[in-house]
Amino acid sequence: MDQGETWIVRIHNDDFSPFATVIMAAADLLGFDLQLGDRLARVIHEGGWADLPTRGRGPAEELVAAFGVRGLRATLRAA
Amino acid sequence: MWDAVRITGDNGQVVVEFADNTAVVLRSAFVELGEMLAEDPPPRRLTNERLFADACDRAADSAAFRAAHGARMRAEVREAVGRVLAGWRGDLRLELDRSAVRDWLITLAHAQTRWLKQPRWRAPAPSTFVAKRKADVTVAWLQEIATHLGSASSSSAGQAVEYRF
Repeated sequence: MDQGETWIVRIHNDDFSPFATVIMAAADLLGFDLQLGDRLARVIHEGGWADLPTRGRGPAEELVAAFGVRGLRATLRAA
Repeated sequence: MWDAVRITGDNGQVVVEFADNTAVVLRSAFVELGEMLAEDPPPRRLTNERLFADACDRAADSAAFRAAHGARMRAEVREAVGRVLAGWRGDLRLELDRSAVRDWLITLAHAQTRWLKQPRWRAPAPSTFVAKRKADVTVAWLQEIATHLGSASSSSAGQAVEYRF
């Protein structure tokens, strides 16, 4: 697998996870500040998901796993 | 008036105060979660398939993903639950920094799975504390605490927040 390929990590909305879980995960895993994390949470809440392009399958899988640990549903696909 | 939980936040520092019975019930739910996560084989209600959503569109790819990452993901959840239990012996008042809030959110999220008929990402949201099933009430409480804990941890300096429920 080409580690340089772009993969899409999709974070899905659910009826259980609070905004703060997304905001905190975005800060810890993506380096987002509070405002950007809040925007991401709103996109997921209002649109049902948000896509995060990620370079390399390995890092994308790590991201999906990390979101899963936090109780969020994340999926992986090739761009 | 009587509150089961009071959560205040100021510049990311969170203080949680519990009523006696709330602390007892919540801690026992966390202890049970920790024990279930440690069971081998995992109990039916807390398998990796119920804790973690499919990571891919194809079932075979999702199974491969779980085979590669599931055990580590489960261990990370278990470690977070362990840190929560180690830092909270059931006291009626506790202070949480950002890192502790993260562990609490992980614990509160996965504790719901034990009570839900379906995985969290497929289950309808509990809409009321006055539910027919005790399990639905428990899930609603876990979710309510998570929501306010998270909001309190996002509070800015000079903009203290307080939630009572």
